[in-house]
Amino acid sequence: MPRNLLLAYAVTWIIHGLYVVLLTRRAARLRREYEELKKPGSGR
Amino acid sequence: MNKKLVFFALVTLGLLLYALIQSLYDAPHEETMGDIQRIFYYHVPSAFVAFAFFFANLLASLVYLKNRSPAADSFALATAEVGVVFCTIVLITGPLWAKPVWGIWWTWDARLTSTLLLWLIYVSYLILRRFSSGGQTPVLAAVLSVFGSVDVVFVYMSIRWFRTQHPQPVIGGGEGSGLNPAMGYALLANVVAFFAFSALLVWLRYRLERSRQQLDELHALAAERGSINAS
Repeated sequence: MPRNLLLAYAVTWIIHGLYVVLLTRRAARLRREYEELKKPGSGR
Repeated sequence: MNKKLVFFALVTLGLLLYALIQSLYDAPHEETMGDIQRIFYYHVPSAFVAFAFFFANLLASLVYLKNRSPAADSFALATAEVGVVFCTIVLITGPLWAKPVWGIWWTWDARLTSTLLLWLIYVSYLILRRFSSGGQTPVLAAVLSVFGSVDVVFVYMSIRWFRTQHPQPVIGGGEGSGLNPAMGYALLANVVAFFAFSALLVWLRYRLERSRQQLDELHALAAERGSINAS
């Protein structure tokens, strides 16, 4: 398999993987913020 | 997690694996370029997805400008972000294909330059969304999207309007254009798989943004109650 072909496919999936990780981390942060807001005495 | 979402994610994974087999093993060997031509099966579908989502971003931005719908604004942001992800892949896989075939990584022809410009416009859009605060940010972003979308048309038409290093259109390029049916099938499999995957990403990003908007409203409400209690 040509090196650049392997690189192109690998880079594609690395970028998609990084984006999925980014989305997961954002969702976790949002969940934490929501839990913080729900705590008694948080002003809500 | 939502059962439908898990089901759709599993179907998408199946489609992506099938498309990968099609592009690496089942699609025929191209005589002139050899196996490096198989980059085509990732490069072209990524470009289709980027174009489609930048166009969806334009539609959502127009809806937002008309009725200030937060849902349209969230959808615009989600489509722009996923569009940038796929456009990044186009800009990386292109030079990886060009170097062994053209002997150069990059040239400033109309197609390549306008694609880079397109990427920069939508990265600017995302930077504006991320770092600008204030109520007018979604409006400014929507206006930027309307101007940015002009470049989508330019990128698409550039290989028809100008003589470029980038090849002329293989599909719908008039007389002499066309694909071997087996190559066409592998391309179709990848286009379907990439659209399914990108739709999943847009859906996840859209839900995330809607949750962010709801959380911001709760924060604002909490701050308002806090100030009332303090007074």
